[in-house]
Amino acid sequence: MFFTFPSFEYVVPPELKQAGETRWRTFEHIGQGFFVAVMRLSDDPPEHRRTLLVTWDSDLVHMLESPKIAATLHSLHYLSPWQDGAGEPLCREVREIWRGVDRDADDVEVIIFKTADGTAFCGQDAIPVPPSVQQKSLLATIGAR
Amino acid sequence: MFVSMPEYQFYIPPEIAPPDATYWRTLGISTCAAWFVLSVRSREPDALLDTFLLAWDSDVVSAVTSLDAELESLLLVAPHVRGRKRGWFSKQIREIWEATDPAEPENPCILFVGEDGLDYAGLFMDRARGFSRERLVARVGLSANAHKSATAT
Repeated sequence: MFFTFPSFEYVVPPELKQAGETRWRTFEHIGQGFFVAVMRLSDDPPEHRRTLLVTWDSDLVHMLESPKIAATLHSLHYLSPWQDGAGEPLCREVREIWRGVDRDADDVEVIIFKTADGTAFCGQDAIPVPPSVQQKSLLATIGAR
Repeated sequence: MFVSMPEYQFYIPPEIAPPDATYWRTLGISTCAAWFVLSVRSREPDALLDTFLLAWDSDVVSAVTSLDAELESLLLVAPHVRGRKRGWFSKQIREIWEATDPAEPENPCILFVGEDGLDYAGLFMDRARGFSRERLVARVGLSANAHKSATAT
């Protein structure tokens, strides 16, 4: 989760921004994992890109499945230094996103991420995929071209 | 620059949030300029890690020189501006320097030394070749710890 304080805002004239948006020079982060996703919207010109920083894997999946999103072109996953265990942040390129179920947890849905270095993990905090998780359907292949 | 939209806000009861804090589940980036993820740890016992996303290199320098905290890590996230690759790449930063670009000696700049030993600077954090390092601002993370150990022995 990201959070801001009023002093972090960067004031931009209303004419130079979209209605409702606020510009910031700084965000704080509570220190969990998050995703960076480069997307093209259905209504945008083909060369137009939008970058979003997304806290939850479920939100990322909703975006992937939204008809407003024409393509997801690139994605990174950030893991905080304390989560990685090595004392350094870990930033990996996500190549595939799968929907699966955990057979040991009443077939609860899990989201599985596969990265360019061959790692697979569940959720924004990069939990190693348990043996009880079964992949069901490929949600997205990213950056393969 | 980071961008928030009302629909991205996440409600946290004020009783459990810092005063004036607003929480967000998603945010956007309004330009393709480089940005930074800085993690620091307060010098108080059992302090947790504080993580900041910073849009400007000058704010990175302000933060590391003003915060009374250990610099745990600094990650640079920059756009692929050349070649066919899209999106962003990241580098862990080991050192921060005030520097001079020989092409623009009248404009001091900030130079970042990556985990790969290469120098990065500018809006897009391109490879910085031939820059003159003027003053060390900070060493970060493992590099800083190694420096402290060497100094102590």
